[in-house]
Amino acid sequence: MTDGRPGDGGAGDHDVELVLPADTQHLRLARLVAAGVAAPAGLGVDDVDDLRIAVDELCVTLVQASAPGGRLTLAFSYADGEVRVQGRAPLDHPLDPADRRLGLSKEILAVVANEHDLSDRDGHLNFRLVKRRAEEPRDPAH
Amino acid sequence: MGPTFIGVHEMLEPRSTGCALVDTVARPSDVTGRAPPRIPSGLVEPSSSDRTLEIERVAGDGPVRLRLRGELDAHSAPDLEAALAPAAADAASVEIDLREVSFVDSSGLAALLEGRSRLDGAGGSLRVTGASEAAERLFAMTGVGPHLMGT
Repeated sequence: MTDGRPGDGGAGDHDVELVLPADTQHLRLARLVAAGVAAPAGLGVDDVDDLRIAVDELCVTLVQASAPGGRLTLAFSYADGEVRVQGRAPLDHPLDPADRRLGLSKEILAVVANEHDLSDRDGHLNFRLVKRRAEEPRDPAH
Repeated sequence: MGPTFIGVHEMLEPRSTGCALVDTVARPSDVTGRAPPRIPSGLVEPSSSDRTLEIERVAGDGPVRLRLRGELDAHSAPDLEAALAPAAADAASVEIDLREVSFVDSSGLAALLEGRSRLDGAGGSLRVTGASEAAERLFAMTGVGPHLMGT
């Protein structure tokens, strides 16, 4: 993990990079690091929760599409009020659009992420995620 | 990871189960009440020291009651599926308490919905009887609350 380098994702005053086995066992660590970079970026408690959920959802998708033994790389860039995350893992098999989990994940990401996308290139599945500080407190009903 | 990282963890995830991972995952026999199958001599059950979810069967008559504690994510969802499988075979009625679950993701929701489908198909049922704030929020985002809680 490195800290303090200029970011390349746009938010960017600080970078944190995490490389870990593409296995569900390590999802918790990805969530912890997401929370760790969200605090100095000035995100509120609800925003941190959203970021943890979003990072988890996108990492699960990468892990499920990755070959056993693959490596999951996460790059966090943060500045005041914003966290950007880029994820990358070797693609072993295509995503199943009929997968129930994937459908639920899309619904969740639509709520917790300000921006996100998945792309397949160079034999890898990649994601990009942006979470910004909310202007107003969250509606308890959502 | 140095001491700074641990400090961040302690500060930012107070609702999680912390570094002490739970390994008392329910076995199929916990759900059915039947005696567990014999493990052939020389075989050892897989270690569950990395588990972050505890599934407890609450004693009592009537429906099978499961109380979950910890994090219901892609890593622990298979444990829930394994705990529900024998209940489906018995066409049991299952009630699940999620009030002490600190984190839920789409994998956890999918495991609950899949369990409900299997139990319904087998003549049983599955109902969530209580949910933490984290679980309720995921229910609201995805609209699955009424399906799982019967409200």
